[in-house]
Amino acid sequence: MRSVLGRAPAFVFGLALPILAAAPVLARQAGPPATIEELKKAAPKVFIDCTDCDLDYIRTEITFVNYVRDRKEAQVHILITTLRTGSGGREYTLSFIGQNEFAGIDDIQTCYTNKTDTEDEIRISMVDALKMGLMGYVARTPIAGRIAIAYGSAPKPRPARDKWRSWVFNLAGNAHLNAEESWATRELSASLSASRITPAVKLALSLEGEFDRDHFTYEGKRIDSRSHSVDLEGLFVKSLGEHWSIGAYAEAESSSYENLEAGFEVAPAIEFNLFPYSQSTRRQLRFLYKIGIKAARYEEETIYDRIREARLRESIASTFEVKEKWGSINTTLEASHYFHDLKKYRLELFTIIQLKLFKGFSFYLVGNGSRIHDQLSLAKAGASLDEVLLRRRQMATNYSYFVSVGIGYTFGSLFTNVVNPRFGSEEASGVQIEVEE
Amino acid sequence: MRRRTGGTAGAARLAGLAALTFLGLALPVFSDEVPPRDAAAAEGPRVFIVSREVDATALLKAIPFVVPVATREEAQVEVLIEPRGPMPGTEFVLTFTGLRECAGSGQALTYVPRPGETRAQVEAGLSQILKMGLMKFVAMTPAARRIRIGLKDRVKPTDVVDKWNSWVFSASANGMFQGEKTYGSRMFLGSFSANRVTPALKIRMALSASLQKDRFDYEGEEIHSRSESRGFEGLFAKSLGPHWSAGVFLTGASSTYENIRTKVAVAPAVEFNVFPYSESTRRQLRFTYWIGTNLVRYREETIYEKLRENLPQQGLGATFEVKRGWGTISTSLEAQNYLRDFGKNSLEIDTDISIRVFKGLSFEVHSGGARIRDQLSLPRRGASIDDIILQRKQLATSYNYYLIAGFSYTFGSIFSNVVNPRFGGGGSGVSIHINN
Repeated sequence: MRSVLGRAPAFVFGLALPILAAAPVLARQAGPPATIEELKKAAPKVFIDCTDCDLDYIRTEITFVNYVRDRKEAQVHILITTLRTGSGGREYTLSFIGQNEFAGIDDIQTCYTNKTDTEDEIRISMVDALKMGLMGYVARTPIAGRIAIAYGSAPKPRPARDKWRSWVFNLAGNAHLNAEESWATRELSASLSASRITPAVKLALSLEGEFDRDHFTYEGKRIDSRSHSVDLEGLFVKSLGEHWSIGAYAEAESSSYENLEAGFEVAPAIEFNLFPYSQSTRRQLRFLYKIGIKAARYEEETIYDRIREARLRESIASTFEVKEKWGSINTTLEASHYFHDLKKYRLELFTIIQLKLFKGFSFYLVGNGSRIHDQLSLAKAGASLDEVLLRRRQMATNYSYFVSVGIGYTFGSLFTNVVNPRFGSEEASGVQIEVEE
Repeated sequence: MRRRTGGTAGAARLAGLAALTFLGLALPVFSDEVPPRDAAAAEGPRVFIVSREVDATALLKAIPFVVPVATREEAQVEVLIEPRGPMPGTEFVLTFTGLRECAGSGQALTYVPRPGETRAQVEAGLSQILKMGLMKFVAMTPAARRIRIGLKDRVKPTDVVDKWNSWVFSASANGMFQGEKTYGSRMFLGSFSANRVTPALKIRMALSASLQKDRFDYEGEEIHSRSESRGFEGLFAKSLGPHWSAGVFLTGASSTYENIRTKVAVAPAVEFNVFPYSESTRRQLRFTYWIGTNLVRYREETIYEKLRENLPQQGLGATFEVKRGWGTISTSLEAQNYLRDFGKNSLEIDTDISIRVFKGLSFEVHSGGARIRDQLSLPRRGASIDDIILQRKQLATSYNYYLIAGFSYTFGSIFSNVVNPRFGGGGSGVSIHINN
C-alpha cells in the first residue's frame, strides 16, 4: 500500500524553496547519443539509510541509480524511519535528502505494510516507494531518457467502509525448543491482543503468558529449572491536541522471577510532547507523569516480612528521540517512588545513540543504568544455583547496568552496486539495533 | 484567474506569474473551495498545464495516470513549460507546483533536446520529463499502486569503478558490560574485514575475536566463567557462467567452547545453482561440494587421547531458498565426514519457513537438527556445573535440535494505517545484532 493524499503535507519541510532556483542540476549534454554505460555513470549517487531493508533486492530491482556506502558521498540520502500502525503493521517514512549537486532538493514518500505481510510484499512496497521518490532526481540526470513508466491494471479495490470500526485483534503462539543429549530447554508463549488505534484514541489490551522449563545432567544427576510469567495489560490514551494526551495504564501479572503470585496496578497518566506528535517519526520529546496504586500477593514471604501489600506510587519519565542524517538518539530518564516510604525509589536511564560521524566512521552506544531502592517483592529464602546462573530469580541489588558500545570504520571502494550471491549471500555488516515492541 | 490551457501568450505569462507569486508566498494551506472533480473515477492527481511552445494539453492527455483539468482552481498540480536559452527550442524548463492537497511540494526540471531532433522527438523527450516530474504527486494518490517504473536497458553494475578497485575494508570494536550487585558480565568483540565483490569474483576475508567473562555470587562464593574465541574466515569465489562457481574456503579458529587451541583449514569447493544466479533474490537451489584438510591442536587431551592431528574432510551441501508473495522458504542440508574414518560424520538440516496462509494468518517455523558422530575435540576431562548450565563447553551428544515455531492471526480492521505515537510505542527491550 502506498501514500494517501492528505498525509504527506504534514511532513513537508519548506519544499517550495528549491523551485525558485530553477537551474538544472546536471544539464544534459547535447551531442551524439550516449551508451547506457555512460548514462549509468552519471546516474544519481544514492545512500540508503536503513538497517532492516533487503538491500540486495533494492540493488537488483532499481538499476537506474548508483549505490554508495558513505552518506557524505551521496547526492541523495534516503533516511528510512518507521512507526507502528493501528493494525500492527508499519508506516515507513522515506525522507529523500538532496546533497552535493542535489542540495536543497528534498522529498518525502510514505509506504505502509500490514502485520502479516510477507518479506516479499514488504520489499516490493519499499522498492515502489523508492522508485517514485527517486524520479525527481533521476529526471535531472541523462539516464532519465531510458526510464520506462507504465500504468498497470487496477489492483483489487479495498473495502471502502471499515465494519470493524478500527478494532484489530491478534492471537499468537510460539514454541521454542532446543536440546542435546545432556540438556534441553523449552519455552512456550502465547498472546492475545485487542486494540483500537485512531488519531483521537488509542486503546490496547493484551494478555501474554510465558512458561520455561530446562533440564541439565551433571554427574549423572538431573537438574530441573522452571519459570513462568502471565501478564494482562491495558492502555487507554485520549489525544488533546498536537502536544497533550491523557490516559491510564492497568496491569495484572504473575511472575516467578519477581516472586509475584498476583500483582495489580492502575495508574492514570498525562503526557506532554514538546514537538507536535505528527513529527514523531523524526523527533519527540515527551514527558509522561503517572500516579497509581500497586497491589501484590507474593509467592513467598518477602525480606520485609510481607505476604501481601498495596502501595501508592508515582513516576515521571522523559523521552527524547531524534533521527537525522547524522544518526539517531533515543533517551529515556525515569524516576519513581512509593509514598509509604519515600526512600523506596528507583532512577533509570536508558539510551541508544547511533552516529555516522565522518567518512566511514560510525559509533553506537546502548546503555541502561538503574539506581534501585524499591525491591519490595524480594523473597526471604535465597535462590538455588541454577536460578542464580540462569537468572531466573530477582536478586537483591541497589544498581543494575547494561552498556554496549562499539565503533566501526569502513574505507575503500565507495560504490556498492554489485550483488554476488555465489556460495551464499552475507548479511550486511555493521550493527543493527532494534527496539522490541 | 480562470485561464484555458494553451491560451494566448499573454495568458500563459500571467499564469506563470501567478505560479511564481504563489511560490513566493509558499503557503501550505488547504483549501476546500472547489470540490474534487469526479473524485471516485479519477485515481491520479488533477493537473493543469500551461505552455505556449508545445501542445502541452496533448502531451498531458497521453499520460494515463493523471487527470487533466482546464483551470488552475481545480488542479492539485500546475505545470508550466517554458523555453530557456538564446535560441527557441534548445532548452525547456518544466516547473511543477503543488496546489491544494499537494501544496508545499514542487520542483523545476530541465529538458535539453539534442540538435537536429524532430518535433516528435522533442515532444517525446518533454513527455518523459513531464511524467517523471509528476511522479511525486502521483505518489500521493491511489494511482501510485498501478505505476511500474524500470530501466529500459540491462546494465552491468561494474560500470562505475573508483580508485579502490571495488575493495572495501571495515574494522569494528564492540563491548558489552552488564552488572548487578551479585552478577557481572563483560564481553568484547573485535573484527576486521576486507571484501571485494564484483560479478566475476568474490573475495571475503574476516578476522574476529571475542572474549566473555561472567561473575555470579552464590551463597557467599564467587563463581567465575570465561570463554573466548578467535577466527579467520576467507572465501574466494570465481564465477563460471550463470550456474557454476568455483572457490576456496579458508578457516582459522581458536575456541574454548570447542577445546581448540588452533585450527587451520583449507577447502577448495565447487557450486552449482539450478536457477541462474541473477534470480537469487527470488529463488536459489545451490549444491556445494568441498574437500580439504584441517590441522588441529587441542587445548586439552581429547577423549581419543590426541593433542594434535591432521584431519582430511569432505562435505556436500544443498541450499534451497524461495521468496514470494505468499512467504519465504529457506532450507539447507549439509553432510560431512572425515576421510580417514567415514564413520566420523555428521548430517545437519536447517529450515526457515514463514508463510502467509491468507490475509491475517501467518506461520513461522525455524528449525534445525543434527546427527553428530564427529566430536573429535571433546576433552577427556568433563565440564563443571557452571560450564554446563551456561553452555560454555561442548558436551558429548549424538544429536541436537532446535525448533522455534509460531503463528500470528490478526483480524478486524487490518487496513488501519493510523499512526498514534502517544504514550510511546511500549518498547519492551532492545536487541543488538553485530555482523562482521
